[in-house]
Amino acid sequence: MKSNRPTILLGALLSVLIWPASVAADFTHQPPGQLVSGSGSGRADNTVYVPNMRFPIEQAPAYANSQVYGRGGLHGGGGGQCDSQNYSYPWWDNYCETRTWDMPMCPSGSGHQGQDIRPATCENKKHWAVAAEDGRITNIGTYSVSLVANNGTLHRYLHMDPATLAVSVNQAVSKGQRMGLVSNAFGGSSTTIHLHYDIRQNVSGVGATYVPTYMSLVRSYQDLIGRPAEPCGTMAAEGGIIDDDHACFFLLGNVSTWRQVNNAGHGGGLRWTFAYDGAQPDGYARWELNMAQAGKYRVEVHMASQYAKSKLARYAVRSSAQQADVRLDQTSAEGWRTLGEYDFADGADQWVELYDNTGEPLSAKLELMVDALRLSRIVPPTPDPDPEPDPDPDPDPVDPNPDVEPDAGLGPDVEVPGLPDIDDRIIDEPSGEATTSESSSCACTSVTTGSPRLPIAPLLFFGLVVSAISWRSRRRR
Amino acid sequence: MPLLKTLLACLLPAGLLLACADPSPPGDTLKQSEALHAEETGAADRPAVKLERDDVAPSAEVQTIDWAEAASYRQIERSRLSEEQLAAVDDAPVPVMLPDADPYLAAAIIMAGPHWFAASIALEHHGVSINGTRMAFVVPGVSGARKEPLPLANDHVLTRVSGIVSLSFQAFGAAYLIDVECASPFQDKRCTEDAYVLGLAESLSVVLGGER
Repeated sequence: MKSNRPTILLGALLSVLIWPASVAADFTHQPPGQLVSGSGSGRADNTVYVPNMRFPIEQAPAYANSQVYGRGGLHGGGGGQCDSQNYSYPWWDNYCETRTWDMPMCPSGSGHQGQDIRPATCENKKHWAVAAEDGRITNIGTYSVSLVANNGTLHRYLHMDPATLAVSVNQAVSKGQRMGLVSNAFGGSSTTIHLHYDIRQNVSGVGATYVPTYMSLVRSYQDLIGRPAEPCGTMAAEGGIIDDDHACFFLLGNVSTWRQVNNAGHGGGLRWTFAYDGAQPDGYARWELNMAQAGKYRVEVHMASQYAKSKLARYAVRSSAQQADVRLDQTSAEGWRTLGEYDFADGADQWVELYDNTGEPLSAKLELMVDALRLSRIVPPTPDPDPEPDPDPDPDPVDPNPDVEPDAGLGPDVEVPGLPDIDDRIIDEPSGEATTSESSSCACTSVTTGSPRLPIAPLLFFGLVVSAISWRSRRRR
Repeated sequence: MPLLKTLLACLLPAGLLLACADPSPPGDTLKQSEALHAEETGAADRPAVKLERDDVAPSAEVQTIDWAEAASYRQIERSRLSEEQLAAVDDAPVPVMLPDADPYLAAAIIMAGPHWFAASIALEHHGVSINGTRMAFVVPGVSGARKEPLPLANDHVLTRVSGIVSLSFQAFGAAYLIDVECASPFQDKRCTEDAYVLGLAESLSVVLGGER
């Protein structure tokens, strides 16, 4: 027994060291709209309806997931509410989870209106809920508190402990101010220990309605844990390709109209929808550009003639705080088609978008396709102004400024070999990583915002050595 | 077993055929209605909209309030409200709407913000809150069944969250909400049935004062 003590102590030490890293900081979340299996159809909506909000629970970790379809819930498959599965990542969206009440923004027209969030531990009346924005407390009910921000956004918190409320009706509150303790209060009865949080806005065309909360919560949580959203990737100085399966490619708006094709297009896949003549885009696609270096680039999109039927495909290119609208006849040629040349600044807030409201009638059933985007550098990258002296200079140096003059017009397109996919060029991500997991039924993307890993491997190795020594000493006895 | 094999042999190809067919996604239905709407209004002839935003976030637009229409709607005499309530009414950038019944008016705490008003009415065993806002958020790809705002409860969405009843509607260029929350949410008929909130919506009347 005595010989096992170092191993046990080491194990305990490892547990203490590893726990905070795996629970508090290695935040992962399922994509928006992906609900627990069997709990309904979610809304795949990347929109951050309340940018810069404060996460509504004071301290991390916190766990957004379903109360009804989680352990201990009505449809949770057994177990208790304190089951460790409920208190672990990844987060799960439960906006639009199966309910019978009208919800205009849910795919089925009905569903859950907000997001359930469990605090750090399964303890009643211990964890503070806080104001998501500056605003005013406009109502306190038996188990709800409403906060209206200056712009009319209505944040509502359910199930705080009524006895510990730190706010009152008509009180002005500041973002982050304590409001009450998360509890199981539910109007004389009880629920699981959680905060139901929802957001209502007056959405144009819909009216005052519950909007998706999930991505606003994800962003605010990343801020809370000190891990702001990592860029989806960085476009290399010489350019690169963003295909339609890349993290920097997004389908937005009414995403349900897009079809995926897996045997055509660049990289073997593309997406298409029908062009239509609405005043507003119904669905649209975006390639986000986070440029490693400022410069002039030719922007091209990849076409596959079988799915390129729109003659008025409508693109917008945002570069260096300017936006250009471009029309492209997708039918005119196969392969890479140019949208023009643009000056990009370094950094983010730049993108290319394709909108489905081309002006062509829906009755014509014209396929509008989206696939890969390619950026090709027109002006070579700026050389290092203060290069390190080469101790072994090349006697036959390569021209540092090769004359590259790609086609600037809408003429025939040619393949430009040697451009890297942006996937291989993700930089400046010392701690974040994107992981993709696939099962036989679906492909799921989890986004990980991690902290620097603890040196677990050396510690484990040390533990093994200690165990081996203790085992050998026991055998000798 | 042979029967099962035969059934599988027949059904499997049929199932694969169905699975590989290209059904119209539900979103196309929305597109169809949008297209019809565009045809009716001539929107297809208008230039395509220009989207300007910094992030995947909705843009906010202050709606124009039709104060003349509000003034023509059923009114609550200002004399029925306290000075404190009237001060909030006068600050409100949207027409303040309250239930036209003395117990409600007496209990109402009225608040106003830059683009909204709110009223919190605590009553016996339940509470009513009313919100109105003139700020609209434009989200590309999001549109509802309603194209034209209609007054009050003629065109509303009624929903419930954890027993709290919510009714939303649009009027005078603003968007309004009524919430009813009961101390016993699953026993009190004011929360389990629709009649109470619908009656409240029908009784709403305008308190003028905030025109600008």
